[in-house]
Amino acid sequence: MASAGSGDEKAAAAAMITLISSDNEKFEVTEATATLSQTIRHMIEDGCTDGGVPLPNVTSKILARVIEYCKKHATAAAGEEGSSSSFSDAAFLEVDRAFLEELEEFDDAFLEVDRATLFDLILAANYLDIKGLLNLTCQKVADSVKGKTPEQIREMYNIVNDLTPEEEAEIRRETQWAFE
Amino acid sequence: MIIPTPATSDHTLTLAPRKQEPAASLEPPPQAMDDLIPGLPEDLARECLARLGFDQLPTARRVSRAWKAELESPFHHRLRRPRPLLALAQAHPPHASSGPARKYAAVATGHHSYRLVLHDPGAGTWTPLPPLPGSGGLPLFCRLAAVGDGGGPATTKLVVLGGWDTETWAPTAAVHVYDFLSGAWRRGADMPPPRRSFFACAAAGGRVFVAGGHDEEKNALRCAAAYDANADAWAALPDMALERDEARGVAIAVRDGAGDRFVVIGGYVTEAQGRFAGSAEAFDTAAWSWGPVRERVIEDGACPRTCCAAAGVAGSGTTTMYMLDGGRVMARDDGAAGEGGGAWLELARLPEDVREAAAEVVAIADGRVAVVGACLGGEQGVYVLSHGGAAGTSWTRNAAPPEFTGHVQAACCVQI
Repeated sequence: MASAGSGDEKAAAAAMITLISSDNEKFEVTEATATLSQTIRHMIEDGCTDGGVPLPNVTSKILARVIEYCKKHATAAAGEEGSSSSFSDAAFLEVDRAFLEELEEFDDAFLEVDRATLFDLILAANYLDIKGLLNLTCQKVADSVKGKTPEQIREMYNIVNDLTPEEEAEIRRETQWAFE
Repeated sequence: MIIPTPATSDHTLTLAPRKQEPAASLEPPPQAMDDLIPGLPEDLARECLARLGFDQLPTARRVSRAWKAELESPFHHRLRRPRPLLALAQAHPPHASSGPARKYAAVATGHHSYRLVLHDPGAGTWTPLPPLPGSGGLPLFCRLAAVGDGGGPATTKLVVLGGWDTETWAPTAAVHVYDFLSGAWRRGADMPPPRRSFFACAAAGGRVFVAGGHDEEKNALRCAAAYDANADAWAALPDMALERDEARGVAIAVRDGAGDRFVVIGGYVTEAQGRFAGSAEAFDTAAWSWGPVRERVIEDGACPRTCCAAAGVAGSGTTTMYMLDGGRVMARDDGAAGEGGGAWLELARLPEDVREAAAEVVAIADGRVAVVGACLGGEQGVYVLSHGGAAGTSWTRNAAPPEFTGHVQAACCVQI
């Protein structure tokens, strides 16, 4: 998939797009994959993707991950369109379910990254306007605090506790029957 | 060459449109760092916090001043895109070892204690709420209603009203309010007298309404009252035209938001013990008055116990009323003002295993309705019927872990 300097741009079908990371690595992807990004979709619609799309604030490391996500989900989107007319068909439902499960497993594995990478993915998803990826990564941050104490949450995300002891006591009073 | 701003899409995620730079540079907007989550711009940190589960809110509020302020702000609650959850008053599972012998023993002796469980039918999760402080569980036959802080569909408080004391079986006027933000219960102001049982109850126009039922001498009641959970205060209502014991309360939302209706359906007068009327009367929460009695809203003689209502299929702008009848789910579109309304039409057959013992029906909005009932083997199941969408009419059932299969005696929809 990463095709730094793989050259032969003329041979690439019209439906291929070249994305250029901040460290100048080139990635060739299908239009279906690239257009999960609304930002790139609009560029394609405006016909200004010749010579590649420079993405000056996405590193090659992060762009490779983003493309991995888009490839998987572009396939999923195509699959959904194909089967929507046969919703009542049990066989199709079975296929759908298997595919959705696979997609979920992919997403779970995809999110197994350190905090810095997760933040970079959020920033890239926001910049490229990929709603599914933004939702997925923001949800990961939200889920990561599950079952943690306030102190553990602060440690995880380098947050300074600026609540005064009085304020903390006040909140604790309000929440004395809270989930623990 | 200019990149147009991304068109607003119908995706689940709605972010404020961001300014786009010319294609030549595609420079990112300057990152306004904030102290919500160091390393993330404020708007993205907010998107993260908007996805916290409701059971994380009490802890998250204790992280920092910025988190506390964010979670308490109306902005956050608009951003949350609340998920509809079912609040269920559900019997505790039989004690620790939940072998069949234990289960039958509990059924035989009638010793159930009830707790509140939140079920997310979308995600298939079941979460018990903390128990009511200092009591033996929820009162029997209590009513549930959820209200917000005003503005937006999100509900931030769950109100438990009335019912019978679990020890003495005497009707109680007690009100308990669970706050999803603080994760805490507080005792609310008692329901005004008389002490009523089996009353109609629903949240409409930001308040919880109660009406009808019977007093301690088993006289059917015409009186009604409204509870403002944020002010913790009760207001009196004019009496209904008819006494309505065992009536059902539903809320009919009006499209422009002004004047939601609290509709009291069916019930019977003292002399008619158990012979249900099919009429209904609707209270206009803006005009603060009852409308005329509407005859034959449901069939005369039918128990209104399974009536419920919610916003209909997305975009239709109407409220759909549902009820169960002879193993079928019936639906009826109500007029915007709760007047007129169409005929009852069959929506779907109930799934075989809840047909005999459907306990509770809750409308979830956007063409979904949940039926809670005893399935095969006596365990409770939650079925959700979706209709009106591209997928047609279909049932889904979420398997409940054993500890969430107890009998359900009351339910309501919560948006959190």
